[in-house]
Amino acid sequence: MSDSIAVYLNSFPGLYWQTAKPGEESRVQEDKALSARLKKRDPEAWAILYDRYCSRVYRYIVLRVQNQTEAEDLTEQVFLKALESGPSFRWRGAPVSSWLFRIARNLIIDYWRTDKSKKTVPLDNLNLRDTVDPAEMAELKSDTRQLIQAVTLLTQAQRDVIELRFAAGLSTAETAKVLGKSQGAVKVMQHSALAALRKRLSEWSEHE
Amino acid sequence: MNKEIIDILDACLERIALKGDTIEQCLESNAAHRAELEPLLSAASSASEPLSIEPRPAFRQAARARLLSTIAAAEDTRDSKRLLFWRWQRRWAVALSIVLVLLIAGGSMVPASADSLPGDTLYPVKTATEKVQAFFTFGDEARANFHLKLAERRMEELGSLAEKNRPIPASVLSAMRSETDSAIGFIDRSQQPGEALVSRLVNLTTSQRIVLARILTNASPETKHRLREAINRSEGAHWRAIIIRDRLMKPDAQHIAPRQLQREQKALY
Repeated sequence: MSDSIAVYLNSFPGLYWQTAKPGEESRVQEDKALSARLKKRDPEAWAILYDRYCSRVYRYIVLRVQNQTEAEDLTEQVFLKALESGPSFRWRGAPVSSWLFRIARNLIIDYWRTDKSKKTVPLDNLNLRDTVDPAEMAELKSDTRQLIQAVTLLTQAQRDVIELRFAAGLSTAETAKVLGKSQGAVKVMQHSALAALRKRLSEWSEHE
Repeated sequence: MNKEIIDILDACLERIALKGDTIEQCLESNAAHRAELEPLLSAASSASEPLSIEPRPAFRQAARARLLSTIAAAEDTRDSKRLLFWRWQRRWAVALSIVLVLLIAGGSMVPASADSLPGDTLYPVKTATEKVQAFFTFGDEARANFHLKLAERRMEELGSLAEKNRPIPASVLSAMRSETDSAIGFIDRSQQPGEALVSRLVNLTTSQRIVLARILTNASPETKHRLREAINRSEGAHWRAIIIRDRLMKPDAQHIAPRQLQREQKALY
């Protein structure tokens, strides 16, 4: 497939599989095999899914709800919802991650819609990865809190892209699938979101 | 907005994420766009800081265990449903094959087998017919009546065998016991069992003990052991029958005392 045709096809959501890059080919096949096992409620496959995505789903949710207890509860719900809908899940070429994060996104939307009086809680006791140097821990926590604050000031569409791409670690194609947008649209949003974020962080550092 | 820089930015981010390239390597390979790319990649680096956030290990493990136990529980439910389905299948298969055998063997065998006793050639036809009848009997009260009838029939067979000095097979004793238990079960399940039905049950359990006690006197030593066990079981069934009767006749009264039952038993023997 020529590059120009691939770029054209990539601009439509839903055509990820056909235009997967060579390096992604094996992952697509792996996802296909995994989704078949998930559908059959194979416990081993569910354990793989959980171990692979638990941290990423939690990270995405904790940034959106800014409440660690609620984030834990919603993270668990994501996997239980996925389990519930597992038997009706149909492989259409989309990565398994897109399916999971779409569930997470819908749960977050419901979370804010059902009770508008819900409050965010300062993320003071964020649990960071073991590999983080203890000397850098305090600084990293402070930077992370500042970043979370900056991200909340972005437009909703920009925020969606930043949180999925950088907090959850999804690829452009996966993000496009979760948001139901084309990869081209995600790339544009990513550019504008990073520019806005850069501007905001620079302003704050100048004030300090 | 410059489409070229949008694509270059995305390609750089993918390189950093997938291949582990550094920001500097990306900037070097896109030197012409360095000024524009650098602040964006630096913002992306800041945006990736939350990547070090992890859920609490205790939560992570507990939620994993709960997820896997939910799967296991769902699997158990599915297995039991499947088992129930197969049991139904088996029940149908048994009933249909018996009907087929009876049809093929000829209708005259069924009435002829009615008076047969355990050990007779036609006795299996008699019990097979009963199985088919049991299959097509519906409703708690109807089933209770049917099982009572079978228990009475087994009791009569025992009496006839003893009269003719024929051996008492253990299978007939256990069949009488299980039919009695089934009848009690259906009466217990029935919300408002009829008085006649309950009286019939009490009469049956009373008669069973009388018949068994009578057979016991002339039985061989090895049969005596089985008969004593059957009498004990029958006493238990009688006790349950009395409770059901009392509950029906005197719903507010205390149930019959065990001592009263013992007195009744002494009077019997």
